[in-house]
Amino acid sequence: MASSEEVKQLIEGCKAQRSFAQQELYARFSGQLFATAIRHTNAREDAEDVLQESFVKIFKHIKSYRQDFSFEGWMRRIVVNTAITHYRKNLKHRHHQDISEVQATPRDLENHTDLEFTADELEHAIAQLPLGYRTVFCMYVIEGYRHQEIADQLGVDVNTSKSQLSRARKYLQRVLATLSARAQSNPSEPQDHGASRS
Amino acid sequence: MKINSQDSQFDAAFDAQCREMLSKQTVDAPPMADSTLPTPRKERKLAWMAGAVVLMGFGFGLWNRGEGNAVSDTEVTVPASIVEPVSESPAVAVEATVVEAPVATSSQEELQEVKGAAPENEPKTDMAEGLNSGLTDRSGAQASESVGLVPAPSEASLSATDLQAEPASNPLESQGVETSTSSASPTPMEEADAMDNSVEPAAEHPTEHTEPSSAPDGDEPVLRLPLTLPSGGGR
Repeated sequence: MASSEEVKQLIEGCKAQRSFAQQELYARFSGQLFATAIRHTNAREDAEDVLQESFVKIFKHIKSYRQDFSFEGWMRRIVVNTAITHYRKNLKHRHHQDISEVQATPRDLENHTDLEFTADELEHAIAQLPLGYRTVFCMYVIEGYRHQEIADQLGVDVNTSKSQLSRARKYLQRVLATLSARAQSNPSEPQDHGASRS
Repeated sequence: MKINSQDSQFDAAFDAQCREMLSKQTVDAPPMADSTLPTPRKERKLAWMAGAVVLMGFGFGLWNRGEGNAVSDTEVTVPASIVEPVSESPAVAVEATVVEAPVATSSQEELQEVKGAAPENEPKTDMAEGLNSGLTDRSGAQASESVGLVPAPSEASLSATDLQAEPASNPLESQGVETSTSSASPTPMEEADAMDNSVEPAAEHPTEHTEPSSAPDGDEPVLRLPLTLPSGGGR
């Protein structure tokens, strides 16, 4: 991870529109931002588009970045906003998928009190969520948005945001509990999450 | 769905765990596209400069065209005796005579009114004084040259009276010398006004205006230059 001093130099280089600094910035942060873009899109191709578009915005508006905020957070916000714009643009081409249609989870794991999961398992579980639920969950839990901000960004009601977050969270907990239970029952069996992106 | 404090604490812990895991998650990103990089500042600057040069060239071309038209217009109206050198053809002298004649006449009249009937030799003195005073600001050599070329006063006074009597008759014109006089004839008053304005500082020295009347002789165009210099220099 880049140190804060190196990041400051990179930011100054990007503000001066030095090509080397821009390429270095992309090399350092593109992986992290691409993961964010993937979480907010349905397909890898869409995530690539969002990433490129986000970096165009980053390079264009980097002069407006203030040092008192986290630079990574600032960039992630740009990626999320770009992904939301992308999502809205393509909203009419998608059919709405309710969370009830998602793969059912065992009810006996609802009362779990402890969960053990890895980052990959969490990623695969999130990938199974419908895009709307996934977006709300990622915006609230990972990016730190408030429900009002989410509602404004997505153009939905605040209560919709709250209910979607709650349902998404419960769904993830069930999925992860199931995976955890499977891993405990068959420790030698390689885990197959069945997480295939649409 | 029942939500108790235990559930909310569990949710908070779950959220924190998810945030910690996913915020640092990285995925192999595709290489940066060429279009992602903004246009370098140097190229933009060059493009701006090229555009500015093209605009300046266009503007200069327009201005030059307008200036060309303006010059062609002034060529008709500007008296040649002021602009042209002494060695010009007599046609120039004719134009100068026609243009400056009313001014010279009026100034001569004024002079006569003020001084009454002045002797013929007096204008020489006045003329020399006027020229000297008009040329005091200039270099000494040039001034002395001008004074040395002053014509005889008798010729000046005579020609002034001639012009008073027959301002339209021009001996050179009658000789068939075709100049811009005919083209300038529609606006003699305007030119006279212009000359009035230009000669205004020198109007106190009426002998200057008696000089153009010597033009009908035709043999002394050289003598005209220093007399027109003060008025030309005043511009």
